[in-house]
Amino acid sequence: MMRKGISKRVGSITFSYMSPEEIRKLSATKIITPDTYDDDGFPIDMGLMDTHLGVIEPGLRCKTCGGRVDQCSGHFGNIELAMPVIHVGYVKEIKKLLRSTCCECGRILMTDEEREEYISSIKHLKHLGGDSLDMRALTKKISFTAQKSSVCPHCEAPQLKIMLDKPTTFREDSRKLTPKEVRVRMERIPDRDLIPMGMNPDVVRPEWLILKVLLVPPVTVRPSITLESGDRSEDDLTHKLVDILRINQRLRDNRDIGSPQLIVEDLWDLLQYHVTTYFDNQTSGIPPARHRSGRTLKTLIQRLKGKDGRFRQNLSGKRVNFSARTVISPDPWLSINQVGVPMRAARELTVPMKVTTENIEVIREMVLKGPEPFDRGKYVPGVNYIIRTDGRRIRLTETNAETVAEKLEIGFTVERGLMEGDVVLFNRQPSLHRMSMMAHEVKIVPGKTFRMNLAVCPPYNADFDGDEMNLHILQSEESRAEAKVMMMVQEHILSPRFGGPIIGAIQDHITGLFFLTYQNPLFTRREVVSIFSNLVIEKYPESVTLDDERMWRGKDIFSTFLPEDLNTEFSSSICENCDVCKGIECDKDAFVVIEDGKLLSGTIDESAVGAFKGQIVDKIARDFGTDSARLFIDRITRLALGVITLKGFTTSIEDEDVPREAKKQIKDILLEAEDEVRKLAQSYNDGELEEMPGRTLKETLEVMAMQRMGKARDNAGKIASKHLGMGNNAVKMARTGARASMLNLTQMAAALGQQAIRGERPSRGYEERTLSHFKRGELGAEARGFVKSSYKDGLNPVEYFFHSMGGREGLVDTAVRTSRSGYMQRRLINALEDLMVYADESVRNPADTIIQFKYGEDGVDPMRSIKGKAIDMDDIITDLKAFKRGGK
Amino acid sequence: MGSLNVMKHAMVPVHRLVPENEEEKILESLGTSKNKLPKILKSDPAVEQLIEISGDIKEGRMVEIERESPTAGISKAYRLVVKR
Ligand SMILES: [Mg+2]
Ligand SMILES: [Zn+2]
Ligand SMILES: [Zn+2]
Ligand SMILES: [Zn+2]
Repeated sequence: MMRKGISKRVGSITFSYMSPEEIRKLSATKIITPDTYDDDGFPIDMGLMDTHLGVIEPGLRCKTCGGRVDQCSGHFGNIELAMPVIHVGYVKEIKKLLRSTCCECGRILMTDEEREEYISSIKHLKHLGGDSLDMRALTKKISFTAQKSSVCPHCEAPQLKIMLDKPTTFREDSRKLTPKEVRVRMERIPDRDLIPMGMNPDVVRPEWLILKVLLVPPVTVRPSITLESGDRSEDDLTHKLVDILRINQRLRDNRDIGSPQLIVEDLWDLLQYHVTTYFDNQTSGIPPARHRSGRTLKTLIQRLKGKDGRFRQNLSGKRVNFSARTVISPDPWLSINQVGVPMRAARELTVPMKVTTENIEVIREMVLKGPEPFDRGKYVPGVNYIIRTDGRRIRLTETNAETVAEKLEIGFTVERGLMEGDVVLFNRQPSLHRMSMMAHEVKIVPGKTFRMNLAVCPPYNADFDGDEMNLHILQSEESRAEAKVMMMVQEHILSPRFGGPIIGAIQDHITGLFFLTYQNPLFTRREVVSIFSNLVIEKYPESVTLDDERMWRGKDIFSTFLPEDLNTEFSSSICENCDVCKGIECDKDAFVVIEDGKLLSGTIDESAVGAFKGQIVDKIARDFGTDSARLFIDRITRLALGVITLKGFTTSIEDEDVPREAKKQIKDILLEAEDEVRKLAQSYNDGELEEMPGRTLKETLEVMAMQRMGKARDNAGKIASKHLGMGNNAVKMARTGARASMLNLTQMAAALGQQAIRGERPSRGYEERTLSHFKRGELGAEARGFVKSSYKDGLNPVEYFFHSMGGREGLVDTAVRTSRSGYMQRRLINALEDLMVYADESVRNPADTIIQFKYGEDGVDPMRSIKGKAIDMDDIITDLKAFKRGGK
Repeated sequence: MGSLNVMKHAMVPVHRLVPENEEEKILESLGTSKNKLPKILKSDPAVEQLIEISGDIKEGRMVEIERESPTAGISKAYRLVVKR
């Protein structure tokens, strides 16, 4: 069935090779001279720049179609080659054909009955709708069987093995076959014999794979550029074609005067080289052709292939206008929805405004102010261009502002600079998910950097160590409306990646809220005022009176920012997973209970408000809408910064200090583990070790040693953390989830532990040992990458070496992973980009074929799912509890 | 034959041959036509099993696949039988 508005549909496309006849017919002219321009700078007739091939200079007319530069897209020419040459792109095909046909009579190396059988099996496959891949596999199989015969079944001539000397030389039993001979053989193959080898004799003949005539692309494809010095610089393709023409001429002359065979053959090979590199200058086996400067030439394949090739550079990706790029920096005074745009960028980037009866006077005012107006030193958007109804653009300057403003008419378009509140797109590469490009509202800021709220760092994966980001200005009402509804930052607080929040508090925000709520500290009036001075307050926290002084509790201050009917319960990040959870009675203040918007117990940390884990953020975004969630994040992050500014916070290497006794204990633990591994190795050597099921003896030893070393580090870590309490700032950060982990601290304070390569103890390097200072076959902890020192102690040289091995593996892994996942992602995107979810929840492609009957089989929007699930029972229960209590 | 019955495998969802008189109703409820359905090969082990049960299945018949899903309960999908 045809879709509406489509009157014709492409049924199929056939690819074929060009015959010499077709090339000649396609050509506007023959090319014979290697010279391009004459002394006056005019293109020479029948040269590479012949005006029959199109024109690149304004003023000249094409001799073929009479068009000017912008009217004529160019015409092809051709070069008659003195001797035939092999086309590099087709050597595989030629090899297949040579091998599967008779060297004497040219017939396919199988009986007529076999041939007919194969032809019918190909027909059958086609009938059943086999695609080109199936077809290729079948014809490959057929040619392969033909190649096996050593005697021609038709003329009984013995068949010699044909070898390909890369890239383009064929040999029959070490005798070189000239392209001419190859061509003769191709000519001998009868039409019907081509079908089993996968060629369609209706459209192609195998002799076309050997070039007699070379197609010359139009000059528009290889324009020459005139340098400032007045010299002409030719395109790489033209250079290559000049080479071909020169050698071609010499070859013809030498052949015609009857030069010695050797000289002719040398020139022939040279012609082959030039034609080969003209197609692909990275052909393996031959040196790439170079420019005089030493630069390798970019020939046909190089124009298409790779990252800078036509496909990836020009067709899949494009450059755009109305965009800007600069370094980013943080700004906690912006909302998550905003982006700070420096004034200079705001003046340059424009938004088009259509002049109507409604706005003409307002716009006239704007135009009158010129391109760079200020209002008492403050930024006011200026106007850069006026586009008249006839399409002419007028650049607005200080001087012409008045006259242009007067001539303003309805229907004109005025390009004004950015204004606060404009909706723009903000993007950071690599754009791996949809949150990599979100809509923000513009805020004009001083300086030269884009600024953003810290809570949007996680979705962009941005930090401020020099990261740059891109800004795109939307150019139409529709795009602005769409961006506002679908792409605004607040609409992406919940991620479709895992059905939880991806925007939320990070680092100091979490530490700050921890200080505010942990053990519910008291704040004096001065302190509360200082904290609140960062914020706009809607309601005041309850106060308590102690010793005649009015004080405020941290949890009450935090509750001010919660919606009034919020109810929830969960454990904080600092929860120690006690055997029996005491819930609201938790003596570690690690169980959060919020009833009707009041924080009753628990510490606010990563699992409450953090990006990725914040349960309060999650619940507000889900139950109270994105506006409330945006406000909540904006406010609590500023609240947190207020608190942490008041309290002060730092960490240093002293935070990893452990008392001497603890140090001793740790050392004992490690020595004991080392000893045990030594014993393990001993019992392995004595053959006393028992094999684990499904493992060899050696594997058993390795597994046990790994386990033992892991345990040793854990125990050492436990000793260390016993002495690193909640009073320690580094620990505070690790436990609340603000930054780093307890493992990091253990490695700094106690010991690095076992280093691993591919999950195993290092074992290679020298014969039966890892380093030359161990005995052969030594299997102890030290010899296999166990690091007893901590980062703070410093590593000894051997330890340092093992640590570097592990570190190198990490680096290689990330490098490999990013490139591989990038490629996978590209392929996925290319495959899925035009699928769409329709109103009936089915997923279809543009041909209207069904891909999924219901999106994801369940129709659940992953963004609105609860960690991938459709409903969250626990949450419903807390809501019911609240309802029973008489809440809303 | 003694071959494996894939339909009895726990990981293989339930396949059912859609009776011809039901086809139209199902297609209408899906808002589509036969040629826009995803395909299943006649040589698919599951279809081969169905053939064993109900005799030859012609190209162009529909197969209903019923999957259990933790989020959707039961999800139904349809395939058009094609030969290759
Ligand atoms: Mg960075
Ligand atoms: Zn032309
Ligand atoms: Zn023969
Ligand atoms: Zn607890």
